[in-house]
Amino acid sequence: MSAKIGLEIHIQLNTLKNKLFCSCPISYDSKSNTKICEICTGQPGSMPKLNFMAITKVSNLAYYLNMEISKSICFDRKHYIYPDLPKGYQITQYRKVLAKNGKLDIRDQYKLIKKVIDITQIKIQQDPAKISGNLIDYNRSGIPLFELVTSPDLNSEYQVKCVIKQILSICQELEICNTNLSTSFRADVNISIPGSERVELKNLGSLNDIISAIRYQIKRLESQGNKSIHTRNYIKGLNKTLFSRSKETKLEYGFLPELDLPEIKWNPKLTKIETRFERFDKINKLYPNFNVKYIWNLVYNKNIYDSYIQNKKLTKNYCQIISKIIKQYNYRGIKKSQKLQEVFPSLYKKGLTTKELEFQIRNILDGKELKSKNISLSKILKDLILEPKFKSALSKYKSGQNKPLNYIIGQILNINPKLTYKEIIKTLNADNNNSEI
Amino acid sequence: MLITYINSESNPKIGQLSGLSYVLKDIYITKGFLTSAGSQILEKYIPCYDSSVNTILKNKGAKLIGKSSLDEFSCGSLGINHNFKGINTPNPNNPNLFVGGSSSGSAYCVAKDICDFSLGSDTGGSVRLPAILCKIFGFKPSYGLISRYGMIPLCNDLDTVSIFSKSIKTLENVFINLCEYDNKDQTQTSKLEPLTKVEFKVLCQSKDYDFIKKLLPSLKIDVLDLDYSKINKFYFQKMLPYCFSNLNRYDGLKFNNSNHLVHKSYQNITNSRSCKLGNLIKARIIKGFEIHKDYLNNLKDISEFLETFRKHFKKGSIFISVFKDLELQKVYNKYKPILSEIKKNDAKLSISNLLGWPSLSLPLEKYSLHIFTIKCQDLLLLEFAKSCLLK
Repeated sequence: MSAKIGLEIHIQLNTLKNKLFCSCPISYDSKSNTKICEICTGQPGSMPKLNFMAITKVSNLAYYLNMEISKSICFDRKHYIYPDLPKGYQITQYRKVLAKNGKLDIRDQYKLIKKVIDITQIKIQQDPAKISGNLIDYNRSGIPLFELVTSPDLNSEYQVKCVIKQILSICQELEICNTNLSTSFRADVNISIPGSERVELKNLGSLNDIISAIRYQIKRLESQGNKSIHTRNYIKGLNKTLFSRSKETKLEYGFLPELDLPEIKWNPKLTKIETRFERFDKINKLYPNFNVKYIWNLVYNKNIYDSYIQNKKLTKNYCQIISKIIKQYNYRGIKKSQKLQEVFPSLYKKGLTTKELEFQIRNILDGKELKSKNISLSKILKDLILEPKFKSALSKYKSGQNKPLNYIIGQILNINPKLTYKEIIKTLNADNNNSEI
Repeated sequence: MLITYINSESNPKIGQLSGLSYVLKDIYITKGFLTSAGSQILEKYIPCYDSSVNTILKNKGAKLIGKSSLDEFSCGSLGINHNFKGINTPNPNNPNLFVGGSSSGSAYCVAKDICDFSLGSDTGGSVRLPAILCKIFGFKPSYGLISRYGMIPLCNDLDTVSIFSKSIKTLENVFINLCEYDNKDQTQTSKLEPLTKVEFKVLCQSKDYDFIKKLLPSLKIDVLDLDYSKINKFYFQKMLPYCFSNLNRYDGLKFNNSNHLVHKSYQNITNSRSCKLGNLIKARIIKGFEIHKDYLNNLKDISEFLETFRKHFKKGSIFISVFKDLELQKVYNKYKPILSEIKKNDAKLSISNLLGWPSLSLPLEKYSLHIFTIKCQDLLLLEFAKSCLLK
């Protein structure tokens, strides 16, 4: 028995400067209710003004997914009463959505195309406010969102994971959304299995939740079946889904055109943007015997791809080094102070070992922030030797064990990350020799 | 009748409206001053921003002296509001007559010379009817000429910022100044047509023909009869769904100047909506919710009807309806109003809202004229009114 799963993914356009219908900045780390105005708090008499950047950005995604993009942009009001909704309606698209009928290739863990699914529609809407405890935080109110709906073509939680990861990756590259921010997406999932009615899982906030909720729900459907369409909520702590409402009591949203935003006619001229997936396909086709993991790393950054990979004759060794650099960079790049393409030329040297590369990247990435702590190696050793843990590690190393070396170097680099691996080894060994003499 | 008195700054700006004082209907947002829309649900609402028209008037040197009473949320045509502070605006000329609404207080203040001009809002005759009943000028400009930003909406594509005055010169001056472009209102898309010389052609109902022929003997007059029952139906089909929609935000918890950030339960919302909204409003919200699903279908019929009507008009065409004072005294008698006639009159006025066309009520001796013409020809309409006054 195979399940049929459809997705509704809501992604915030957090790369935009301003909210969808007012000029308030989009901010995640500001104090509650500081980035607000009369429009996003729904004050009587205020009128929305469209931030057209949201339309052009999402159109790029729609174009990428080969969708038909609407030539007229209009909005509708979706009415319901909930404390997070200041106006009693949400401004969304109902009569004419931004884009319809697209396709997305689903790839497996080797990034190879396994299946093509239909993307039914993409529409633009505004985020409601955030309720945290007793407080309504309107900083989130009015942040632009887009909703992407897939047809129920997916069969497993694994495919769902691939689709979501892929869409987020594309959004990141098209600069629609910064997916490093945890608040960037939410999803609703529709599941049915043969002989059973559909179940809707609402408001899943993370990839892990989505996977566990689907896994639980499919098992539940297989063992108990389902006679009527209904909605369920996933409870993280219990790893269970609980009944929320049946179709009969399903909220009837009233829709009316938003008359304060007149219809805009436009004729978008878009160019197809190449993403990591297309770059991957190209290299994979040229070098079918390369490890796909290396290729996936090689095509990670467009600038590096353009100057180091594209139109070059690639050897395995060359690819391995570049792949390592990028992998290390991504691993350490959480607090990226420098862009990969800027540091890359200084990293790429022939004959660098993995360890050396690791330290170099660390140096570059952390260097800026720790500039003031430029302390000499001998002073660091003098200080560290006072710590018993370090002392025992050092003596173990000196007695010929190699295991504590990582710890020792780590401790030293924590204090001065500008030191290089070679320098440290040299000093340690010299120290070793001296003490032996 | 003023709800709020406002002592504006002692040194007003100098501009084209210097020396004029004005009153705003209480649906125009005034920063720092109570804006109630005549409803208990907003009885403590002190807004944090200013409506665009108020900003314009202030910058041009006019002086705001207060906010005036109205039918709750501009719903109603008689000037009755039992729900808010017990304010029931009387007719300034005749205590036995309704004052007309919904901009009743703004009309009263002009008729009583409390201010030089006042702003009302016109969704289906809310300015022109009180102007007729108070014997002053009431002008509803074309839709999309004046910014609606900061005006509490009833039906967003019928609402029009409108002006009362006793002097047509003041009215024209204020109107031209208010046409300033405002980038906050996306529906302010119309452009005022400059005045050019044209020949006026008059259209009217068959029952007004003889009267107008006598009044304007030199002009060509054509008869154009309308199915008024249809206009009323169309007006409510357009207005009621948006009455429901625009009032959906008032839960009695937000906008009352207390800490509106607290997340309250549904029960509280239901309670405060039932207590604090008036009966007429509640009835309209319910009706609006019932018919909102048909809105888009109805829209087709409405535009078809309006299209056939529009065909009769060219540049220079003026449609005139006559309101005789003696008849009005019978129809709008406070103690035994004739509802069927009131409905007919409402239809005569609301047709120009459905079309978005400019219209004006023109007080003359023993009768008033209601005139309208095609969109953006506001200056032409005012010119025609002036020529009528000379006769």
